[in-house]
This record gives sequence, C-alpha cells and structure tokens, in this order.
Amino acid sequence: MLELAGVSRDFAGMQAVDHVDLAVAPGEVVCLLGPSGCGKTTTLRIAAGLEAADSGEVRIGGKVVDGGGAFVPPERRRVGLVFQDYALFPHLTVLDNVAFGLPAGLDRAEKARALLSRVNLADRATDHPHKLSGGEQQRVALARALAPSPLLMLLDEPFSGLNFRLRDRIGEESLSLLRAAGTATLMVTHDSDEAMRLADRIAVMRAGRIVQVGRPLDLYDRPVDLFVAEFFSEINKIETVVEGGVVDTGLGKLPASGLANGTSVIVAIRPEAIRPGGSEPAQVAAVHPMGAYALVKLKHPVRDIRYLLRVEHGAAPEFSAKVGARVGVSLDPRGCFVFASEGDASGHAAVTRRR
Amino acid sequence: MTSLADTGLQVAKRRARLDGWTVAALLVAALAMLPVAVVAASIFVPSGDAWSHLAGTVLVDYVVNTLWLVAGVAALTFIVGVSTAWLVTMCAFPGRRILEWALVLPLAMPAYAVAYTYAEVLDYSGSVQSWLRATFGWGRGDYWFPEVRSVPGAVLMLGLVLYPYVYMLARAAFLSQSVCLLEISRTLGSGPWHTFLRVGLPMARPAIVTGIVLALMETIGDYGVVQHFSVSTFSTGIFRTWYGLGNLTAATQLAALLLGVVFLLLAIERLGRGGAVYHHTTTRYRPLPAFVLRGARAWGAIAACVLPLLLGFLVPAGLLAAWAAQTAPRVVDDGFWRDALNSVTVAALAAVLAVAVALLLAFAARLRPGPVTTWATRLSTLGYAVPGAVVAVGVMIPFGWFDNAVDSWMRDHVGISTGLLLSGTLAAMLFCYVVRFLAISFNAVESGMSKITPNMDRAARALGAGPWAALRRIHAPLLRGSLLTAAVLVFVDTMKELPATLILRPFNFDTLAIRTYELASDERLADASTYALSIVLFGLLPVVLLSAAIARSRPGHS
Amino acid sequence: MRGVPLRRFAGFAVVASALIAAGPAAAQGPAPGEVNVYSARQEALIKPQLDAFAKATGIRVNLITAGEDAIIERMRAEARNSPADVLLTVDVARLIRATDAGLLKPIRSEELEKAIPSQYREKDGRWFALGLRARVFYYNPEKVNPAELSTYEALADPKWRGRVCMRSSSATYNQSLLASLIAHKGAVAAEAWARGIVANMARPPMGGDRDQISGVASGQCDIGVANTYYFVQMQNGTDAEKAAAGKVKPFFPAQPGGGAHVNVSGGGVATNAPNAANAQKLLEFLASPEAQKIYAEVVFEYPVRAGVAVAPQLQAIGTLNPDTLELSLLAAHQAETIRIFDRVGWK
Repeated sequence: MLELAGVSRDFAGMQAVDHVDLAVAPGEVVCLLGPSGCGKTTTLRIAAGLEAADSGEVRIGGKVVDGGGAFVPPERRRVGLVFQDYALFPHLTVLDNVAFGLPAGLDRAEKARALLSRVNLADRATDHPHKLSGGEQQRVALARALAPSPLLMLLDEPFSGLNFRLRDRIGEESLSLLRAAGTATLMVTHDSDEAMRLADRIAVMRAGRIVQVGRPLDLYDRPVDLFVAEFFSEINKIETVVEGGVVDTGLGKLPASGLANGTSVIVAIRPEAIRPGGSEPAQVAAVHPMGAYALVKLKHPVRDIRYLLRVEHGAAPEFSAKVGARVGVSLDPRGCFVFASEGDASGHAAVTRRR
Repeated sequence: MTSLADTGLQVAKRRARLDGWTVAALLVAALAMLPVAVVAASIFVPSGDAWSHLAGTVLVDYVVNTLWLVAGVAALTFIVGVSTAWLVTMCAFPGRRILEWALVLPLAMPAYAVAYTYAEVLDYSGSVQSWLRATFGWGRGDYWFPEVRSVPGAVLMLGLVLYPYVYMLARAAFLSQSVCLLEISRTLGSGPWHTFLRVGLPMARPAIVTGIVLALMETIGDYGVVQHFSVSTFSTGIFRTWYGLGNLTAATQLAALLLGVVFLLLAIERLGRGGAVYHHTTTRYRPLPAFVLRGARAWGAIAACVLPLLLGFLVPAGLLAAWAAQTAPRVVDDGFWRDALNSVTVAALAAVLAVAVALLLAFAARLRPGPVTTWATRLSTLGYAVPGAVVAVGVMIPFGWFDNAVDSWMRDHVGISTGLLLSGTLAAMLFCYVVRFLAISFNAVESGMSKITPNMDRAARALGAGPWAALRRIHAPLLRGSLLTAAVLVFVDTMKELPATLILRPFNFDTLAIRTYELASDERLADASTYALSIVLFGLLPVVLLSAAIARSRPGHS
Repeated sequence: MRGVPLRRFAGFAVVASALIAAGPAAAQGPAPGEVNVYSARQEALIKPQLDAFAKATGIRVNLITAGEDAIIERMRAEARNSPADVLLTVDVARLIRATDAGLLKPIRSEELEKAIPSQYREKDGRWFALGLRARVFYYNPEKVNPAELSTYEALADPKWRGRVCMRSSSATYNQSLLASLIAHKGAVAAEAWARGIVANMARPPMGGDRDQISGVASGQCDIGVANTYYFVQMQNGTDAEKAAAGKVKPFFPAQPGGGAHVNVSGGGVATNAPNAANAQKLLEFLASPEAQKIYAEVVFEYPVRAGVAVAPQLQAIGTLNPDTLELSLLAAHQAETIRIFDRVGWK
C-alpha cells in the first residue's frame, strides 16, 4: 500500500533520510524504530506529504504521490495521522473532531458517532477535548484519523503519552482496529518493547538509513549489527580477537565463522543466553532482585570481564546467596553474536557487519 | 503530590474569601471604574426633555451611523489584520521580513491626523480632485468621486490605523499555534485554505476577537475622526448635546447608553465561546513551514500587505512630512522640545501605571478566580469605549468633590486649607489615562498570563514562594513580552491622546498632541503637521521594538 | 496661593513639579504675584496679549486652554478651590453660561466701563467682550452678482438651491447665527430659514470655516458662510490658501434692521479667583489700546475699544456694520438652535 523507494531528504546539509526503501502492505503494521534524531519521523512526514522528498519515490496505493516531479498534497493522499500528543482541535467537540475529515452530508454525524462507538467513546461526543483523559484523547485521535477511511495510517509515537498500563491495552486495541479495517499502518516509535509487541514487521533506523527490516523475532534473533542487537535488550559486550576460528568469551568459546584470525571483534551476549548451572566458573559481583527475577552481575574469576544475566525468582538460589559466591554457568549460542569491530577502541559505536 | 498541592490551594481558597488580593483587586477595579460609574450614574438624574428631542430627531442617526461605523471597522480590521497576519506568519514571499514589523506602523498614527490629511487631499477642493478637474476640464457634478467625509470614509480612516491591534494579536496567536493541528487537518483532506478557515482561524478566534473589540472600543470612543468628517455618531452626539444643548446630564446619559451597548457586545462574545477552551492541546512545536509563494501569488501577498501599510502609514506620514517641511521652521519654537519631553514623560508614566494596574488585576483574577474578580476586571476596562473628554469629566467631578470635601473638613477642624489636592495635577491626568487605556494593558497582560500553566504557580507555592514572590519571580519574568506589549500600546495611545489631556492638564503644560490640536482647531492644518508628525516619530520607536519582540515570542524560538 | 505647596506633593509630586516648573521661566519675586487663566481661545491667539501683560506688570501668567464647555465644567468641579482667576472664551453664549452657573463675579472697573461700549459687557461686570468677529458671505464672482446678495434670510431663497456651502451646525458660529435670527424674527421663521438653507446646500455640511471658502473657490458651491478673520488668515496663509482666497469675494450681509451678525470673544473674573486683583488688572489690560491692537493685528478680530484701528487687511475686505442685537439673546436662544438644527436635518 505504501512504498518508499530510495527516499532521501536533507536539512541544511544534514542527511535526515538517506535512501530509504520500505513497503507496508494493507492490514500490515510496520514499526519504524530508532533513537531520536534517526530520521524516522521525517520518513513518516514524507509519507504523509508534510515534507517532500529530495529524491526517490513515494507510492501510495500504487500511485506515485511524491517523486518524478509529482507531489500530491497531504489532503489528497488518503492518509491518516496520529501524533504523540494527539493534536485534537481544542475548539471543536469530540464529535466534530471525528467528523472533521468526513465529507459534508446527512450521514456525517452518524458516521462519526459510529466511529466513536467503535472506540467506546459514544457518550463523550459533546465534550471538548480538554475534558478527556489521555487514553480517551488518544482514541478520539485514532477515530478521527480513521474516519475518512485512509489507505495508510501514520502513527507518530501514538502511545508514548499514556501510562504504561494503558499503553499495552490501547496499543493492541488500536492496532487490531486498523488490521480489521485492512489499513496499512506505519508507526514511528523509539520503544523497542512496543515495536516488538505491536508490529508485524520492524524497520530499525539509524542516522537516516534503514539498518534492518524484518519480523520482530528475526531481528531479535538475527541482528545485522551490534546497534540492532543492542536496541532490543541490555547486552553483554566483550571485546576480543578471533583466534583459531573462534572467539573466547570467558564463558566458553564461540565459532567466528567467516572472520579471519586476528580480527578484532565484539561479542554480544543477551543476558538470557547466560544460563545458571554449567561448567564455566564465575563469581557473583552484585545482585539486584527485581521481583519475578533477579539481575545478577558476574565477574570472570581471572580476566576483567563482567556479565549480566537474569535468574528467575526461586531458581538457582546460589546466585543470590551472597556476593563473592563462586557459581557455574553455560552459554546458549543462539543469544550470542559476533561482530567485527572497526578498530575503534570504544567498541560499540563503530561495529559493523556480522561475518 | 499534585493532588495534595491542589487540595492545599483549594483549602486556602475556601478559607480566604475576602483576603488581601481580592480586596486589593476590588479596590483598584473600583477606582478604575469610578469615572465610568460617574458617567453611568447620570441615568438616574433627570435631564429635562432632551431625550424626547433626541429620540424625535437625531438619535436614530446616531445609532445607525455608529452601527455602520462599528460594523465597517470590525469587518475592515478583521480582513486586513487577519489576512496580513496569516500571510507574514505562514507564507514566504519577498519582503515578508520587513512587512512583518512594518505592518504595525499605522498604530503610531493618530486617527485624527490621518483623517485631516486625507480630507485635505481628497476633498472637492483638495489637490486630487482639483487636478482631475483641471486635467479633464470637469466642473461640479460632471464626475463622481468618493466622498471622504462620510461614514465609509471614517470606517476607512479608523480601520487603517486600528487594524494593527488585530494584526498583532492574530499574529501572536498564529505564531503560538501548533503546526501539528494544521498538519492533521491537511491529512484529513482539508487543503491549505480550508485548513486556515477550519483550524487556524477558529483557534485564533479569542485573540482576533480581542483585537477587534479593542479596535471597536476605540472606534466608539473616537471623536476626532467623526467630528472632522461631520459624521453624526453617538460620540459627536454626546458633545453636541453637552456643548450645544448645554445639557451635560443628557450627554453623559448618551455615553451611559453607549457603555451598555459595549457591555452587551462583550457579553455576547463571551457566550459565543461556549464550552470551548483554547488552551493549547499540544506542546510540540516545529519551525513554521512557510508556504512558498511565487509569481502572481507572491505579488498578491505583497500587495495585500503593502496596501494597508501604504494607506495607513506611508501616505499620511508622507503628506505630513511634506507639509511639515514647509511649515516646520515657522511653527517649531523653543517649546517644541519641552512639549515633546512632556508627551514622552506622561506617556511613559501612564504606560508603567496602566501595566502595573493590569498586572495586579490579572494576577488577582488568576489567584482568586470567580465571578467577583471576573466582573470587576471587565467593568474596570470599559473606559476605553468612552470618549476621552467624557472620562475626563468623570475624573474631574469626583476628584473635585473629594478635594473640596477634604478642604472643608480641614478648614473646620484644623484651620488650614488644603486646596485642590488632586484636581489639576498630573496625578489626575495619569489616573484618567489609566482608566482610559486599562483595557489595552489588561488584555495584553491577561492573554500572556493565560499561557502560564497553573502548575507553575503550584510549583512555586510548593517551593515556599508566596503570591507576591511568585508574581515577582515567576510571572513577571515569564510575562516580560506581554508586559512590554502592554506598555508600548499604552505609551503610543497616550502620546496620541488629546481630550483628557486638554481638560485635565496642569497650568502651562503642553504636549505634542495639544499643540497639534491647537493648530488644527485654528484650521492651520499645514502648521499642525509638524507636531502630528513628531507624535508619529516619537511613537514609532517603541512600536518597532514591540514588533521585533513579537517575532521573538514564538515558543521554542531561541 | 492657597493649597499650592501641599498640592505639589500629591501623587506624582516629584515629576509633577518638575514638569510644571518646566513651564515659562518665572524669576519674579512674590510681589506682583500671578494670575491663572482658563482660556477657551487657543494658546497661539492669546499668548501675545498675555505675554505683553506679563511684561508690562511683572505678573506671572499661568495658562491652560481647552474647549469652552470642558473648561467651564472644570471650574465647576473645582468649585471654591478652583485656581482659575480669569475665564476667556470665544463665544458670548459660553460667557453667559458660566455667569449663570455662578462661576463669574461682578467687578466694577472704570477702566473697563470706559473702554468697552455697554452693549459689549454684562451690566454688573460679570463679563466683558474683548473682540468682535463677524460671520459673512463669500461668493464666486464668476457665478454670483453681488447685487443678488442682501441679508442672511435671503440665502434661504430657492434660487440658491444646490449652491451654498455651510459648516456643521455643531459649530458655535452657526448656532450663534441662528440664535440671532430667532431673536430677530422668532423661532418659526428661523426654523423655516434653516430648512431653506439645508435645501440649498451644495453638499452636506462639513469642514471648518476655511473649507467653506475653499469650497467656493474650487467651484463646489457658489456661496459660503465663514467668519472674517479666517478669510484674512487665508490671504496670509499657504500658497493654496492664498490662491483660494483670491478667487472669492467677501460680502457683509445684514440682519433685518441691523448689520452683520457678530459674536464676541471675551472674559470675566472667576467667582473664587485667588488672585482677583490681578485678574481685574488682566482684563483691564486686555481692553487697553495696546492689547486691543494685538487683537486686531494678530487675531484679526475687530477691537471692541473705540479708537483702536481695525487691522488694514481686515479693513480692506469691507466695513463692518455690526448687528445691534443684545448679545445675551444669543445665549438665551442657543439651546433652541440645536433643536431646530436637529429637526431640519442640518448636520
């Protein structure tokens, strides 16, 4: 439904969006994920027609809306837009907000009312926005954006204004509504948990480029680089060098397939890949109980390496017994990734491709 | 935490119904209302058969002409003020940077001076029509030419110098609008023009209405223009009844009637707003995207902005300058600089006072919201709609009464005479200015105050700052822009003010406006132009500063 | 001087006194004292006489000017503590209005009684006329034969339809003219006259006196009505004014049984005058040959004092034969004139 092909945009010499290719299918939810300033919002605005691309092409519903000399203004793109702060019109009632994008006609109010019912706000139709709670405002904003039956829904951090309990529920309700309507949805967020939970596919952006696109678990299990790996969880980073086709993590050796001996690498290990029980010795350095689990910091008995892992509440009591206790762990290689570093001593910032 | 603080404030509110703030605000408001109340009280005094005469002859004329004037000025200031504000704020076209501040320049022009100059040029015997007759050999009745001394002429004159109120307030509102709202509207299928009509304009409505109300109050209170154009309005009617019929009571009754109408207008606009609240629902700002205008559109935008500037400032100021160049050496005497100093000094004092009073009232209304403070502040700003001379009478009568009462008491009990303590002093004059221009300063301060979230007050209170400390350390610095705006507007209006100064001034006290009037009333317009021009020039600098300050006022602007 | 020191401390005393002190320099000691003048005549037109007075007597003159009714209202509000010593106006009706309000007190002065003919002063000495102004016609010699011109009344004749330039009835001078017609011919005839004038107007009433003369000069109308001194001032004014004045001719019309309509400028001593003796001195000075000469030559009014010459420029436009109507009648009928004007639609 939405296709971005080689879309670029720069602001005053800064490449905000750099050759972005991305497609969103009808009924699909794609999350643009990245840190602030990565260009994800600009990409969204280009899709909406609020910004023009410098080069590349934007197609919506197969029609070119930007590129090759054509530019369709936002009001004729059939896109819906929801901002982080909802941007409800303060001078209009809830019903009038929802009806704003509907063509004038007898059934206009009826349609708006039906939409309000779908977001369970039929009883707030005559209120002004400032009387609604944050969650209610979000739902009105969604209903308003849905009203003209857009082909493409663009959500800019739509749930980050809500408290975390509401966020899950409203996020799921909203997206199921969109999926049911068969709307293609592009959602911008910096919250990897949210993206993981809500998206069909995630596109991770960094410095204007899309680094990796894929289903959430693909990205989690097969990150293309340290940046992507790091985005979805805390991670243990161990700097080392390939020797004899393997890397030594201090908790056992991992194959460094494709990397020549002598290459400086960073080994990324997800905390859950370090399992209590096993033959690799370590020493407890600190314990932070979190309720359902405890965050445990381990120390390599000899080398100056520290590891973070999670220990489920009640399991492996020796890990939380006392600081300094000697314990044994094992590594699950599925949660370990080896990336060549580019000779940068600081490590993570300059890490590039795997293999 | 928030709820605790809230509860604390509410308890304080409930306990202290009539605390220092409310009392201070009510006292100040009562004082500011005094002259207007004196005028309004006249309706209880019998005024002979003046009313039956007025009703049977000219009253309809007064009402009809005043309504046309009000409707015309409202329409003109709305169209010119809002369209120019939108163009310079939202569009990019050549010259926009200059027009941005230049569009407020007509504010420095006294309406009466604009009226004099246009009448002088456009009258039958003026240079334009004389040239036409000489060139085409026309005589009387051979051609049609718009009559400048007419209701439409007066509308044009007043509209040209008053649209900056609407322009400034609308521009400030557009600048503070969240672009998100406009963008949402675009994605919902409204093009730029419809977005302006459906979102930009209604969002700015309170600001625009405030601007129009200010312009209309000044229109209703104007005497200079309508008198010079021989248009019979309430305002000329008041003076005709006073001077001609010699019936001051009936004249003030006319003024009281006028006040009733103004009050009704204000009430209607308040009702019309209904439940809508114009707090900003979004706090995100991004640089305003300028619609880049090119070709014919750019020329159209330039024309739309230059025309009011040309007619409201450049042409009249140019004509004044041309006449001044001929007459200045003859009319500028040793007194010129003294008069200029007087003008600037009283205008500056009036500005400071009017802003201080406005700040007190606005802060009290914020601290103790409720019908009492709301109505007290509304009523205390009505003086702007009353002709200056009538307000001056409203000052003279109670002050004279007070002075004489004190004097009598002192003579009887202490054996000394205190004479006139207030009457005929600068204090009385400044008091009159504050009464007259409080509406301007109050509106500016109040709108600034409404943008400060109440959480700021609560945070200050929680940190141990009392109301005074909060006002001094939180509100005053945050309001700097609004206070400056208020001060400049009052300054400029006081520079131009005439009738109250004329009646209330101390001995041997002249201002530029008085010198202008004296020469103009002797029908020496060319001679008066030097003084009129100097009013403009002395008012210009603060106006330009103000405009620059507005440009910097956008949230997030660094 | 009562109360003055205290008053200075009221309100914005520091600034106030600084600004007040910035007035005319006054180096005199307390001996000659001062005199406070409330004037409805513009400063430029009264200052020369007052300066001459100060120079001659050493008495310091304090002045405020304002509209006549406003300044009377101020005196009334200030009541017995009013600093006003002398009230000067440019309309006899206002002098009488102030008299009726008890704001002016009778003074006996041989000097004044000798200088000013009795019809130009109130019999008890509450007010004295100091200058005369006549309201006359100006016509376009190309369109009007002076033989057609006679009285004010005749101007209401239908033959002048669409040919007359008139000023607004809010102008005191027109009120005074109509009041004189009421006094001469009665209210009914006066109303008919006003109705006739309205019918004869070339355009709605507008502008000042000079504008009526300019209207005739530019061809907008054939005849206009204005006071004499404006015409003389135009003859000595800007190039455009000189040109306009050159195109019209003045004509001195007559009232039935009298001459041209005249109003007066004049003054009286305030009832509560703190410096009453100086006030009387000032009035006497203003009636002196020296001051009367200034009235004649600076303001172009006709001096009231016999023996003082009319300014040559004014003399050149014609000889005044003033209406002999008792001046107090102008005041008596003034309110009535507004009612007539309103009824006949003379704006």
